[in-house]
Amino acid sequence: MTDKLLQLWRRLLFYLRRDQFDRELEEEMRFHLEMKARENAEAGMEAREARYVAERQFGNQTLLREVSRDMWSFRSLETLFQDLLYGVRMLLKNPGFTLIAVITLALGIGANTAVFSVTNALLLRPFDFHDLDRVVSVYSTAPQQGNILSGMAPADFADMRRQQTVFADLAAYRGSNLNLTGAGEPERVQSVEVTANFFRLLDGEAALGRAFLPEEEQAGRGQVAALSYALWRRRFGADPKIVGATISLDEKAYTVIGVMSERFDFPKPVEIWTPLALSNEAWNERRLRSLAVVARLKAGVELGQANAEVEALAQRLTTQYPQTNGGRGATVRLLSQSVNGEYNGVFLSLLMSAVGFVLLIACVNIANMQLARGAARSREMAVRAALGAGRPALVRQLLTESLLLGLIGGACGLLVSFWLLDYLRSSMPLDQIQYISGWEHISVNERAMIFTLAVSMASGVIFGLFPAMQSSKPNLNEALKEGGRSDGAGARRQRLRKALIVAEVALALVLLVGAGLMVKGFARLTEKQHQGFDPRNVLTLRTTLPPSRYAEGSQIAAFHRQAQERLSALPGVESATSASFLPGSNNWNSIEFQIEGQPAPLPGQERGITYQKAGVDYFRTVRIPIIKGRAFSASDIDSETRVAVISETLARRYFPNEDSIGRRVKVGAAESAELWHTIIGVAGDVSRFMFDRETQPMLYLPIQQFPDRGAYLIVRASGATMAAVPAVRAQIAALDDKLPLYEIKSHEQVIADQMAGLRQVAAWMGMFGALALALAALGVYGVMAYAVSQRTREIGVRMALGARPHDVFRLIVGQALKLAALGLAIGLPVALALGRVMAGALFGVVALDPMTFVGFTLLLTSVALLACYLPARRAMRVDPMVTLRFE
Amino acid sequence: MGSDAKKIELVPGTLEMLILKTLERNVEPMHGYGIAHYIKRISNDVLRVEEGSLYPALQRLALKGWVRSEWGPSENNRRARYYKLTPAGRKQLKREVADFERVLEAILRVVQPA
Repeated sequence: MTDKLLQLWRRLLFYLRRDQFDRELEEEMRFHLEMKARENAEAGMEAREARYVAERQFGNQTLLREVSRDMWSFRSLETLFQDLLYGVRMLLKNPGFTLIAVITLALGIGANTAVFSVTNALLLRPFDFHDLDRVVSVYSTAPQQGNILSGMAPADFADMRRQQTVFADLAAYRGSNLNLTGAGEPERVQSVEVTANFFRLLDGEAALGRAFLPEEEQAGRGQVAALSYALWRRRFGADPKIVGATISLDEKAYTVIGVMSERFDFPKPVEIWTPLALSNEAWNERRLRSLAVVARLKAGVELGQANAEVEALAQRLTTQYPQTNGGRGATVRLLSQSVNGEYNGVFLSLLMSAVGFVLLIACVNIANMQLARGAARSREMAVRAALGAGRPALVRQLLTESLLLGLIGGACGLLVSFWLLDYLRSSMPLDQIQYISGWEHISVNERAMIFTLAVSMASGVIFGLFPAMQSSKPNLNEALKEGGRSDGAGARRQRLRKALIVAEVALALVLLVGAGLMVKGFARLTEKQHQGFDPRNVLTLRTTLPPSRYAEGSQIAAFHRQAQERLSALPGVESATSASFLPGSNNWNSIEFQIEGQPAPLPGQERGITYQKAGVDYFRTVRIPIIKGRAFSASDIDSETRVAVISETLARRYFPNEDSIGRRVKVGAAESAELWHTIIGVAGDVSRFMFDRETQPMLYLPIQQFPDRGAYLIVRASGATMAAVPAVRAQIAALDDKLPLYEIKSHEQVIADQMAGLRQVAAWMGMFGALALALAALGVYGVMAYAVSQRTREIGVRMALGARPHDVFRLIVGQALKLAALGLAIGLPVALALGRVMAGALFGVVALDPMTFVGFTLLLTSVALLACYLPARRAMRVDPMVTLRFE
Repeated sequence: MGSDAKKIELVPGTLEMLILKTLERNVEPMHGYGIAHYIKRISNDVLRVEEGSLYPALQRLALKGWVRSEWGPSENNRRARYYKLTPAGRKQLKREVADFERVLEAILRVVQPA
């Protein structure tokens, strides 16, 4: 290292004393020659001859000097510097070209940087955990019921933890909500119960106090809590004496043992961690798969290996406990890839490809401009070649110019990416962000910078290499002739430019179709999310009744009944109800269910069903039509018979040829002691989850008969939706003033927020599609305009020989259309394939959407037509006399 | 260049070693001509160092810091550039000689009859 530095230092000294170096070398050689001549003279030569022979023996002195000097100088650096300087001069000489190229590149590269930054934050590095690619999630699967990943049952987790050999450690957690009361407004906090090793496994460090101790995992000892940094700041004013204090969660006392560091917020949107202190009975549970499991792979263990072992262990449980574990498996996924859901990966790779296409189109455009410029610069190149510049030197010069342009474009692209990321940050609702791991990591960080640098350089090479190769082969004879024509010289160049147009049209078509399918898919999903009910003028609020004061089902039922009565009596309120979740909100509960008179399904093939607990007036309030029978009424609640309403799809699927009204169903396992519910009505279908490929059957149970502490209050207002909020708040406070109300939103807003991520993707795709279209139009126009200007004389001759303007027009337009058609012919099959891939990965996207394909093909054709219309019109007006005289 | 018909080419890469060795043997600093002359003499006229390679080689050695040069009066009362081995050059020489001997030994083992 020091050697290198010393060498550099000596080189620098040399650089500063070049003249002295030359003089000294000169003197040294003169001395050498003299000594040589003396030697010759001593051998008996005459003085002049001795000198001559010495010089001949010495050889080429100039070459020797050059070689010595090259040794010392920063030769490659110096040429690079020269090339750069020259490049800057050339770019400044053509401000128009430079400006357009830089803007095009900035848009293309900026889009890439922005999407990469998001991908990097959400998909590649959502956490700061060390060795993130060794942290995995373990899921339970049910292969016969499709590709659904679920949590693990406590007993299965305990078995796996004991028997496995592939993980260094396994931790489990499960989310819940707790009401935090005392000191200020009661509020709902997101809490997570975790095993004691959870923090160690995920590098969670305490900023204050400590993490959990193993003994706090035991039932009865778990009344301790660790606060998130954000909650500590927000709710407790960053009180340094919080450790040891007592807080009230669901009206039970918990001791704060620590505050976790600011960096640690897993799993989002956690605010409080409590120990997973299960009773022995709870640890024996194999049916309720309530635990999320994270694990760290042992050193040297591959993901596949871990997967194989986990599957084998699950297999063993299947044979050991066929009743509960029959037909079930297990699988391992990288935490970073599973945490944000599978769809994020699909969307981000879609966006990555889209921006890649945009940049390619931008590069094609610039390559085209470079080619046109190359023709104009052919004399410059020829002069330099004639003066002895080799082809590598010319290519190097031109490539340096392109790289410089790429880097300037990249630097401006960074600005574009800042803007895009700002837009993204400001347009995502907070409610959604809090669930996205890595969201706060979205920034143009070092990785994004390196990515941008690489992309900028790659673009420089992509749009610079072909034109450079073309331009560096000047035909000296032609180019140097006075008045040399450049039109004949560039047959090859013409071909290349035509190929670029074809490529551009093809790329643009693929991207436009991709964007179109995405936007349409989004529209379709949005429509689906609104189908079957009417979210307008509906206000929704969330609340959770604390178990301490609502221990009995009857207390919960009473709360819901009173809330319903009080709220519907408000002026400006049409009706009110409560439910366990909102239609169109992508939230649901699933449970096994049985039909009276039908045999129970085999283990592993249980009928999973979505069930909704709904209050009186639910169907009227959210406006889900009752197709048959009747809805829940107040009298159902008090009656002895338990009732249920089913959805149309449920009726069709499970009661295909019979009347479902009057039949009885129950939730839970076949042998469970749950009561049977009589079906009293059939309601219209609503969407459960936007990406569901088919409508899912849904079972409605009265919330009063099937009490649920966590619920939404739903109010249909007759006037402005949000205006009802204060009155609603007051009524609930009158009922229970310690009850926090949260997520107060209009139903429309709830759905819009759910779609926010997707809307973002659709908006970006649309933006990139529009950009691609604009770039392609510019590109085709540029090339056609240039081609026409090059052919002015030819057109003049044609017209002098009797061609009519009309024929000229047809010639030009025909040529452009031929190229566009070729591009479309190449792009269409690719776009079709893309459509199929997208439709396979994303529900809502229809692969063969004729409107999209035909529409964009026509659009691109008309753009090509328009792009050559202006040049063609100019060509029609060519005055043969003028062009011929131009000779 | 050299006019001798029977010129023996130096094994590539050995010139620098020869220069370093020459400077090591002669405790006094030497000028370029002296170095070339010395190599020629000691090798019984077998090894001839061409000026076209000698001076670039000297520059390279100076750049690497293996030799140092200073100007001094010559035997014919002119100014000449004298080269001297540096400690780093001495170490480098040891390395190069060791490498060379290993290669030579290997070559001999191949060409000599078994």
